[in-house]
Amino acid sequence: MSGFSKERALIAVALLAGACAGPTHRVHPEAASRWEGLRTVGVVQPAVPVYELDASGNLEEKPDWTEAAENNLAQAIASELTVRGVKPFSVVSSMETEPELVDAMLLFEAVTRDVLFANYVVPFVTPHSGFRYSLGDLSSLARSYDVDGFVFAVGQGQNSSGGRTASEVAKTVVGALLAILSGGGGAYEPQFGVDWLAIGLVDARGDLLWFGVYDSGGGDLRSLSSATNLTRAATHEMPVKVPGPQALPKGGP
Amino acid sequence: MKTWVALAAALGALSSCVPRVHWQPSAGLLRSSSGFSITLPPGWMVLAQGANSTSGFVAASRDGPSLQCIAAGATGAPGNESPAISALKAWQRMPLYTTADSTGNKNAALVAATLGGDATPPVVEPSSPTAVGGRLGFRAEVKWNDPTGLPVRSVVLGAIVGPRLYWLLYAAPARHYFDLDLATFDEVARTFHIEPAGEKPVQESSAPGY
Repeated sequence: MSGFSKERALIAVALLAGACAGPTHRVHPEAASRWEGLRTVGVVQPAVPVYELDASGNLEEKPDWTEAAENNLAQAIASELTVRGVKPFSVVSSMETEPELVDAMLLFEAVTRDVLFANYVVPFVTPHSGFRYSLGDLSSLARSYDVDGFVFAVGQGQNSSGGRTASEVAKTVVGALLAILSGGGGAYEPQFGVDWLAIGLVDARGDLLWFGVYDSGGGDLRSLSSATNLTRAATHEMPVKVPGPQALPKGGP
Repeated sequence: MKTWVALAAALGALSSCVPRVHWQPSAGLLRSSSGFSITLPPGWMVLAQGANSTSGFVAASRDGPSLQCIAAGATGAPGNESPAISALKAWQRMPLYTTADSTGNKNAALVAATLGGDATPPVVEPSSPTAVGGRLGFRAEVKWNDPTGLPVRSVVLGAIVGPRLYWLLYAAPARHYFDLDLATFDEVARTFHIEPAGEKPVQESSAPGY
C-alpha cells in the first residue's frame, strides 16, 4: 500500500521536527492486561513511500523503491513480533478485497498525525484521560483473519540522489576547510535523507495499545538490514510476552 | 541513539514552518470578539483566540484536531454559496496545526492536508431549520473524503444575523470518531449564543438556503 502521500509525509516529518526529546513510545492505560491476549497479530502491509532527495532538496516518490521498502518493513515487523512471543500473520490490504482494513489504515494515518502532534508537540493528553486512541471496532476483521489484533505502520524513506550526495560531500569538505582557515567552528553538517517509521499495535477492539516512532538518517529501506534497524529502533520499548498461565494456545480454555 | 532534538536540527528548514500553536486547556465559557459565546468541554484543548491574525474563531479538540474538532466563528454572510459550505471553508482556513506565516505557502500545504482539505467535494445533506444560538438558523450534515481518502463527517449549525454568518461545526473521521463525540457537540451547541455587539437580538423571518 503506497497511498501515503508526500504531503502527509511532510506533515508527520514536520511534526517530528517540532517534537521534543523524550520517550518515543506511548502505551494505552490497559495495555499490560490486554497484551497477554495477543497471540496472533495481523501485520498490515506498511504504508511507507520512499523518495529520491535531489540536490535541490526536492522529493520524488519511486514506486519500486516504495514496494521494496514496504515488503522489507513488513518482514522486519513480523520478526520483531516473533521475538516477543507473538505470532505474526501477513495481511495485505486492498480497497477491492478489504475496504474496512483500508479505512482502518487511513484512520491510523490520521491517528499517527495527532499522536505526534498531541503527545510530542503540544501536551494534549491529560493524566486523567491517558493515552486512548482507537481505529474503531476491528473484531469482525480479526475473526476473518483469525488474529487477536493488528499492527499498522506508516512512515517515509528518503534516499539521496547521486547529485545530492556529491553536493553535500563537497559542501562538507569546503566547510571543513573554511573552519580550519577561520580557526575552527562553523563546519557544514551534510543534509542527507531521513527515514522515519511509526508503528501501532491495536487489539480486536481497535484500541491502540502501543505506539512507537523513530527516525534515522543515512539508511536505505530498500535493504532489509536498514528496514530491520529502523523497525528495531521503533519497537525497542515494545514489551516482550511473558510465558505463563495466561499465554494459552489458541482455542485453549 | 538520535534524539528528537537532533532531528529538529537536521530538519531545520522544515521545523521553521511548524511554529508552536497556542492550544490550551478548556476553561469552559469563552466569549468571542466576533459576537458569540460558547462553553467548551472540560478536558479538551482549545486553540486560543487571538493567537494569530484570524482571531475571533474558536476550535477545540480532545485527542487532536484530525480526530475530532468542534469549532465556531463568524464570517461575512455567504452570497450564493451554501452557508454550510461557507462555514466549512472558514474552518478549513483555521491554523489547527500551524500558525500563518507572512508568505503562507508552506504552512498552507500543511493545513490543507488535515481533515480540512478535501479530495472529494463536500456533500451537504438536506436538513431542516433549527434554532442556533437563540436565532433561527440551519443544521446541515456534510460528508467528504480528506486528501488521504479518509471519509469525514461534519455537522454544521449556523444562523445569518445582519451581515454575518455565525456558525459552529463538528468534524471527525466517519470511522469511530464521529459517533464518539457527537453528543458532546450537541451539548456544546446548546451553550452557543449569538451576541452581536451593538445589535438587539432579531428574529429572522426565514432560514437561509442550504
